[in-house]
Amino acid sequence: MSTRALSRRNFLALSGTAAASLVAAACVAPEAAPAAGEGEPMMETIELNHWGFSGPIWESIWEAIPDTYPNMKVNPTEIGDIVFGDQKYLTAVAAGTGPDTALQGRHTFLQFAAKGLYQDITETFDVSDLNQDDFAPVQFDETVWEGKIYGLPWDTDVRFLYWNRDHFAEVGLDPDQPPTTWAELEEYTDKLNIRDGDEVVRYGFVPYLYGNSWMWLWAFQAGAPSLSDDKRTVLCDDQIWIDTLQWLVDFYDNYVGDFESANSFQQGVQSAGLGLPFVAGKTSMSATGSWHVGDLLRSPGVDYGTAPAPIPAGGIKSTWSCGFSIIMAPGSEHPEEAFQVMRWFTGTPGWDALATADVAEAKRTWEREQLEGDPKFWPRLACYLPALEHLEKTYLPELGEIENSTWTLSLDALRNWTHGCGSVMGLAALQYWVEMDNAARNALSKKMTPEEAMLNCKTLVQEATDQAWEAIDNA
Amino acid sequence: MAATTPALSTPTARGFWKSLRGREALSFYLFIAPWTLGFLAFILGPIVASLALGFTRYDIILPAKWVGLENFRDLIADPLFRISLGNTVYIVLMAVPLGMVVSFLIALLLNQKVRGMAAYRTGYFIPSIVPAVASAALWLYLLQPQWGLVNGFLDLFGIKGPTWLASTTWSKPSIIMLMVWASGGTMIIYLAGLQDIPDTLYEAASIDGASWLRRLVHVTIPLMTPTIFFTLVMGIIGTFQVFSVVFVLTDGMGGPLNSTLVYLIYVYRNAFVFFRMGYASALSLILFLIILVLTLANVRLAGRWVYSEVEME
Repeated sequence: MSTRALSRRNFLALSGTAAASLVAAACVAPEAAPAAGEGEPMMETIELNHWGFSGPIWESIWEAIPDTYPNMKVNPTEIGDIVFGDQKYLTAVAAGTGPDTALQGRHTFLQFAAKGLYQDITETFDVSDLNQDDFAPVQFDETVWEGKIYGLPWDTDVRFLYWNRDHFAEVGLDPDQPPTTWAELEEYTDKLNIRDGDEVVRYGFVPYLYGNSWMWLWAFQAGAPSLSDDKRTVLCDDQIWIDTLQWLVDFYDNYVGDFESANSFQQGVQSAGLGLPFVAGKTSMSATGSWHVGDLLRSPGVDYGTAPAPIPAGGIKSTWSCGFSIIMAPGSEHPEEAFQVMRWFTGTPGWDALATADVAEAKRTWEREQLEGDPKFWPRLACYLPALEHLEKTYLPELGEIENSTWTLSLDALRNWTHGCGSVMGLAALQYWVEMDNAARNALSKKMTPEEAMLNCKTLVQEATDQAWEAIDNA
Repeated sequence: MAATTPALSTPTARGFWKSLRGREALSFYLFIAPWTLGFLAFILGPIVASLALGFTRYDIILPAKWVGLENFRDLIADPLFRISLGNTVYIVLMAVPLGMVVSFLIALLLNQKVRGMAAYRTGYFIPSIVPAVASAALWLYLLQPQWGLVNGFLDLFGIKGPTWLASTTWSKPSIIMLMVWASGGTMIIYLAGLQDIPDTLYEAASIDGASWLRRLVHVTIPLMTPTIFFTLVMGIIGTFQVFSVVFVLTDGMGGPLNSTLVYLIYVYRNAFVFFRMGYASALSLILFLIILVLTLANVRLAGRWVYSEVEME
């Protein structure tokens, strides 16, 4: 035995051994399969892990699953960010520790499906009682990559124009006549703007920053393409995109003013607890999604109308939709049950469970905020058409005229004139989303010309798209 | 030899661990063991992997593909690399000296013998132990352009405050303000350093007729230089790695218009938003080299201005 103190080398060796033991201890050995003949109960409860939204509403939804499948238990877990990055899901699947099912944002769906992050469910789907025609076609197509089905679309939305009828009447505009063209939108905005010296009291309309239109809504109405048919070429440098961005810049110059000021005005309204600018009466028109009806139901003082967003001269009535789909993660130990969960969640029972929880939440909101009248519930747009019909029959009769006409408008858009966010962004969807936003903000805050901004977007997104295709081509 | 060594060495070894030096050595190893074990188990592997991944293209799902120096060539041409490095250097250049000066001045004030000093010290120290997410959320309210307290205060003097985090001009200063506000840790280190200065030196200087300012310049600051050096080195290392505060203040985007896109946000965005692990690793390697060079330069230059009472062997 050495007569010296514990040497540095020995200490490190000891530490290394201990650390290795720690790591080895942390790696749980796979559970052994039960030996044949071991006495198991006839109705073994199968537990599935689902990653998605969290909170009391979501827990109560999953508690309803044994009503349909008594031998199933779903353990829901918060998935984290599924719009920008989806770090938790991706790293877990790569490590082989993913859930059985998960909700996934639709705009990145193809990007992730192409990487093999979702289980191919084509065969299971084909032998099930489901039919592709049962789903909203645009949203179903976005779960299909190279002819294979990778998920079931759950909910969606559409975007259109909301206008404040009282504000219209106040400035002499016909409250029943929303603007239908970009020229009218400019004219109406000019009339509806209110300023007190340099201070903005109310904006007539703020494209891009307020609501949820982004650049996509306006460019699609002008007929802009986003990708080539083979999804390999990014087309955000098309002249239509540049012209659309130029129109937005001109709109700010003429009717909104400084981009930063408009941004901070909105932040101010929200942080003062007044809600969104349209709900707070701080803007007279808003281009945003169908979900906004739910916000307005909680603000009964706003008398509003809804219509397709105005289009440019020679443009086309158009909008865009996003939403979420449910997928099965590769490596699920219970693929049959996982598919049943997906089927249940996107189907009428799942939507019923959500609606029941949402109605209860609406009641709590009405009580908490001491709102006038009975609690109101605005259903989401289900992609499974029988569930959509069921929601319509169950909940729309309880709502007013404007909610019913907006529902009709939403269904018309969904069936006839929407773009799917998943199919327009391709295999570099995340980069496309981020760089389009950067392009718009660069141009609107005068850091770049619209042409420079869109060419910059093209360079960056094309590079990411090329890399994604290279990985697929070489796989 | 084999027969004699154990007989001779065993009592000596036992004796060593019982000796003062042995007990001190044991304490030393026990104290550093938690960190060392954690480092070996959870950090060393990723560091080594990251060094290697910097030379690959790796998206987590597909196996890493060796691309040599491609990532490093790409980052030379990458405007966001330059922007993120520029933003970080700006914040380091502003926040580190400002934080040190403010902390030093506060430490001087808190080193006075006044009633209730413990409460003051606690008050100034608290911001540094508020979790980054909570302090960022607090500053979001303070800096809110319309109704925030900061602009409300400026309004009292007829000054129209900027839009702070929504402004490309004021977003970085907003972050610097937050960092300076949270520099209580540095203040405590300075306070400890100040209390370590023997009163006899001040007494001697006073007898010689030195004013408060001369005592500060000729006694306090020279004797504080080892502490200042430590906070400078740690401040530069820490500020180059600023992340959580900016992440919360800007929803992880480094906006507006990349004006707060600091280096680690860009690393994170590449790694966990775009899943370009190879590129993110290359970026990390560059940051490591920058910090290494700066730290070595600091150590090298320390001899010129850091006062040491102990004669170097």
